[in-house]
Amino acid sequence: MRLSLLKPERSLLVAAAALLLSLASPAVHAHGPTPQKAQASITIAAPPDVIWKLVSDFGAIGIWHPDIKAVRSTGSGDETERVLVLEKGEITDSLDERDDKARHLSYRLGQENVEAFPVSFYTATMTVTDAGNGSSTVDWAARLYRGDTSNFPPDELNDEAATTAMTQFFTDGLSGLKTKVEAASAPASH
Amino acid sequence: MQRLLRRCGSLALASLLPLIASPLHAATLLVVCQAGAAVSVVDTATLSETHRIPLAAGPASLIHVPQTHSVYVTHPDAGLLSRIDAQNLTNVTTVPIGGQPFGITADDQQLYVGDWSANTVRRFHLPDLQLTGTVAVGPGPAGLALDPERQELYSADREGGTVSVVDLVTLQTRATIPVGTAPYAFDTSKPQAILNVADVRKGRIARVDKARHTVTYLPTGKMPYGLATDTQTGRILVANQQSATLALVDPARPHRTLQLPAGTAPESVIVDSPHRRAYVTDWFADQVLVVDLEKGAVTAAIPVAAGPRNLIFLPGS
Repeated sequence: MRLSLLKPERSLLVAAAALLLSLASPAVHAHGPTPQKAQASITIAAPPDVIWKLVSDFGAIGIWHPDIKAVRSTGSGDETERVLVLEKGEITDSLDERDDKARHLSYRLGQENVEAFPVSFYTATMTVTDAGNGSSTVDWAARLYRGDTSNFPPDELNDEAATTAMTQFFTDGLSGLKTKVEAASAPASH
Repeated sequence: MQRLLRRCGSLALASLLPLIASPLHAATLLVVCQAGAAVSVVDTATLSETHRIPLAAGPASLIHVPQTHSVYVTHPDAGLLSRIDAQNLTNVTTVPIGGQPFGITADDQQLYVGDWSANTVRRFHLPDLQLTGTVAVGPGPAGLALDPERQELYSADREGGTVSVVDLVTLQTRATIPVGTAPYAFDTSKPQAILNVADVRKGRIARVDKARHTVTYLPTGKMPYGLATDTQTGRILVANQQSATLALVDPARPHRTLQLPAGTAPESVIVDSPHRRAYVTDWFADQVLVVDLEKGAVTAAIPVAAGPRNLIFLPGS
């Protein structure tokens, strides 16, 4: 079918139908074809086991992450979920794997809320490694999809907005973790 | 002595045979890198990237069509389709086809391209890329596969949890088979009676009987994004992205699955069975991992352009 062969009223009809279709289809999909990367890391002056104790407690992220107002944790083992209460609303994470030996945690976004956090889906990992001399490195990384996975997302839901929000969430969290751990392990002053 | 020589001779010959018999000797790997907007060309003899073919933004999937000496590449975000000259691996032409073209497959005369957000598969005639038909499939078509003998096209409907079966003659959907939550990629190693599809949410392979449309399952690991069969052993290799492992699954012994550590975020896998090797894209680390199937270990990592997603063999040059 070639559009140029259509009578004007027919092509108007086609255009109207296309518009209706585009309005009817949801603007936001849970997942899309183009993943993005976000990562951050920090060195903390404390042994890995001390940090892992905090990080591995999936529902206790609120203790050290400054962007999280509250956390509601449910379930146990691989069924563990945490509802993160952020400034603009809630999102839910679900735990995939906790490996105490490797000090490695993996989880995914269970319930998105792009108004609260402009990412429609992510999988993330957190790893604590020994950096020597009683210090550790914490790596936080994610594979994520923009808030609006259509090809014409608004600025606040595009790849850049998603990557920026995720990276900010990681860097804020890691500096919060560093502050918490180093304050606790610092020798008491007299 | 003569006997010994003869034995050595036949041994040497036997060890040479797989090389001679294999069409993949000195094959080139083409690795499509989404963030890097390029196809990385990798020499499997030297295990190094020889050059990069720059492309338009966000290339995702690719297919080689020997008859047209072409490699076709989809660009979902830009609504583009690129054609790379497979003979010189340099010349590229890019055409706007609109929509969110993602999955791609082909036979000698037709190219089939999934549209992720329109929930369709479009058919383009080769080599002129004339659109000759469109068929509705389930939501979020990701992987596509063909069975030329059955004259069927299969679509892994990522957002619908189904596999759509399309009749290639009529270009109509013949069946929609529920397989799980998020079927993403097919094993396209070779058409067989069973169609293996990785379900990224369920962490398993759904095995669809093409004749009966019945489904059985094999557990794999977290977020399986790619899979391929080792034809010499019958094992299915699965790239588990969230587990960061390559699973070696024996369909006859599903409880004996081996999990090899495989980089940071393994995405897709292909197998060179005669040479006992597999190649895995490590999306997060921008590299292709080389797996020695006899040793059961990653033996090399080849740096490529950013965000490697899919890879194919380009047979002997």
